[in-house]
Amino acid sequence: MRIVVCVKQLYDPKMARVSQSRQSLDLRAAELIMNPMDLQALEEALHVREAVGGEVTVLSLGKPEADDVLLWSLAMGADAAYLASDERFSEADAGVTAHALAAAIRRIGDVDALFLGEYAADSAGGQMGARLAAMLRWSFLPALAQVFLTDGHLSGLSYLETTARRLLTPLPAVVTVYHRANKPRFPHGAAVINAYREGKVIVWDADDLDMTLEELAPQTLFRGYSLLPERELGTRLDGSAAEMATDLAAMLQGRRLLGGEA
Amino acid sequence: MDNSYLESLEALMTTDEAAGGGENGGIWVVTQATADGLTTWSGKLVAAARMLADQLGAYVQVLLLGSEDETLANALLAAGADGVHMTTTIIPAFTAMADFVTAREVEVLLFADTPVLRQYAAALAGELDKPFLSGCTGLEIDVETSGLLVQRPVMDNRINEMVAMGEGVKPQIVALFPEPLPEPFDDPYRTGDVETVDLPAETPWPWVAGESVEEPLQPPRLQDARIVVAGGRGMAAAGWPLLESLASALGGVVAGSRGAVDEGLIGEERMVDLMGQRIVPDLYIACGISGQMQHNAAIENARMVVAINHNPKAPIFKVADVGLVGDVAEIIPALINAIRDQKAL
Repeated sequence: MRIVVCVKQLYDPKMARVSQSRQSLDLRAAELIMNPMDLQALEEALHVREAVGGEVTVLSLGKPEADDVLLWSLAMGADAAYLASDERFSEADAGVTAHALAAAIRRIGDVDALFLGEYAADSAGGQMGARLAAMLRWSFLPALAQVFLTDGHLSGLSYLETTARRLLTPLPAVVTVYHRANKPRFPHGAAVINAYREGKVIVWDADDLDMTLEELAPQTLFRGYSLLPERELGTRLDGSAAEMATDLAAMLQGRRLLGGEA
Repeated sequence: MDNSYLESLEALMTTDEAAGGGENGGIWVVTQATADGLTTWSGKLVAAARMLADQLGAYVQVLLLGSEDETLANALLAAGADGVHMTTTIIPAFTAMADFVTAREVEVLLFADTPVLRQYAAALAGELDKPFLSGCTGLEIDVETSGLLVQRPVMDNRINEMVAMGEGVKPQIVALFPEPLPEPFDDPYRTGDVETVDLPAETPWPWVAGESVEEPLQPPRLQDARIVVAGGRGMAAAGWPLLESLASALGGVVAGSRGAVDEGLIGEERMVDLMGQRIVPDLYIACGISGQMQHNAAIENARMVVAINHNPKAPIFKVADVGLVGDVAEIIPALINAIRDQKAL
């Protein structure tokens, strides 16, 4: 059993500031962290390994300093770490990233399952799992918790919708781990020291991954930031009970809090 | 009825050739029919598509999933569509969908950003190797590429990023939130082509080769709940079951303030307080809770706080995003009805 967990290094959104004057994002005070959802994905994969054996490999795409999140993953208990890093990835969008990760997964070889966080805390796209599943033609189990492996089948409880679903699939499979699936472990100090001193991260560039120029060409272009409208803290609704209720329900629907379907 | 629509119709008539005419190309909206028909979300998506189409001189086509009801098709035409393509399939196999999209030379493909459709659109994008942007709150035309320029909140909703789709890429796939899309058009005199299409269903449930069994959702632990409905001392008179009905209408869990625990309305294990549970739900509705410091601090990181209280000076309103001043016994039943109506739209 070999599980690959995709992990992403990102600026902690909680420490990001918005510069009103420059209409832009100020990241000077923000730390680079491992995507919190990826910590959950790794924790879930380590659980499965503890139950049935095998190995857990972590994979990231990013700048050379992204090896930090891979070393942390090794400290948590991952067996091997790979980093796809290349200056040609600097403008990578979801499509380019998916091609690079898929190529790395093929090169790692004999992968039975791919675990990802449900989404990344910075870009909140939530598309990488489904995209990779389609590209690899593997089964896809979204927003999964309580992941188990029995008789070559992966199962878990999917929290994608308002009702949970017990899903069961043969391998290979792509799993996105529900963002509240577990509490990621905090490694012992000795494990952290050991990982940062002796941990090995294998770095591959686009050529190692045999990527074509087409696969390296982003199909979306970042054009800049725009500010959100002021937060409506302290809004008072008025009117009759029914009117206030209607306004509030519409507001909740607008924020996707009613689980409404199209 | 907005008369700018007539102008757009004129624009459309003069640009038939540019759009390639008829069936192929254009802006496509994928929408699902519900048991009650169409959601306002679909009308809003069609309206957004219509506005883009008018700028580009393109047609708006709707792929209606889950129904072959002509009245729904006519409603979509009235909302601004030029053609409606219907199938009883609720979720088409994404490989079949990819073939369909390619054969029709779809230029822009718009989805409502529901949890299932987002994953579906992402799989489709993977299959087609095309760009997909989710969680979008704004849509315009990029001057440089003549493709879509999309606005989407990032960094934990702190700021919007603007992303353009690459030049000449098609289809450009986007999943949109319902707010702040334009209100739906309604022009009953509009006509257009309506056809049924054959799209095989994805079995048994999106992209899972294997079993799928629906399970009754266990009420999540208080700390894990996305939606928490909490009551305080003010709920004693109105009745606690009212709170439970509201929580069930929202798919949330019930909690209480220290006041409610003191009144014996709820157990201490469900007390929201610095000395009890500190929680970070997406939505917290405080009903009849005055908002003591110990309580307010325990919810300070909630994404959205709604307060319902009869006392306009209650401290809870200082930490609430939205405040409703009034009697919980009146507002909560009205809110339950409004939520049902909103879900049925």
